[in-house]
Amino acid sequence: MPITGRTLREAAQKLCDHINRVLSRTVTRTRVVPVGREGVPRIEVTFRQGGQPIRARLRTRFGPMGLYLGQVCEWVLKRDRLHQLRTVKYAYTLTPDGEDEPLLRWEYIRQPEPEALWCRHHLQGPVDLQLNRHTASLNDLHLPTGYVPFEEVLRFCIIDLGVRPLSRDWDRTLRDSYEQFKTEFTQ
Amino acid sequence: MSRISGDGRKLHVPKALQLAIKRGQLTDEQLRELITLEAQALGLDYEEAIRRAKERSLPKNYLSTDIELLLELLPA
Repeated sequence: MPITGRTLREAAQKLCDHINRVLSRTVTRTRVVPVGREGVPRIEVTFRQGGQPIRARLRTRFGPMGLYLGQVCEWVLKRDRLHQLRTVKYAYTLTPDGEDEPLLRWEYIRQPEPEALWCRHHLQGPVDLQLNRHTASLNDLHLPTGYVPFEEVLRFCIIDLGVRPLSRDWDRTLRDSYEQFKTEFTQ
Repeated sequence: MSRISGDGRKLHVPKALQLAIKRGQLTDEQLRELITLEAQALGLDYEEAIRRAKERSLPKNYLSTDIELLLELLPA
């Protein structure tokens, strides 16, 4: 069943409430908010406070890191008063403390410029890769990833980066959220 | 545990714009104002930020990422 709302705003808030519920049981109480433009069936969802975008600060086993979650979603009117979500673009980044550039950027763009033939779902970062006698930066490549749900980034933060989960049922929360997204939202 | 990141890039978002963001709906003018504020924090003006966002040549940080996302709300 697709996510529903009498208005776009209501549906957008429902999405944010869902994401915030997942975040608050896993890695952060920092909240995402929806930002839309009048007359456009799209919203941006990201951490924002006092109007400005922010990162959630996480304590990892490697020290503090900033987590940025951002998505642009498009709402397709399926039937009367039913809006179904479709991801247009996402960006999830992790930035070590004191750095400006993220170490890891998971990105997706549904419709890149026509000349852009790289993988639309990719991972980038300022990481040098040794390719035979050559060194290439991961920033210059588009390492394919497939669709990355935000839940998997939160799981990475907990399991691989050692962020202490905020609830005992964090694993169930992430699994349930992922299943809900698969059935209630389109990607 | 987590808390809000300090980041060091404090934007001065006017109250009216903050309220519009809180409501979740911006006018064209307010969206442009928000992008302009974020662009200025990067040392860019609106047009330059939009051009570079389309080229994916903005500096790589979370403000740039936000501009690239907000770009998707603008008319094609």
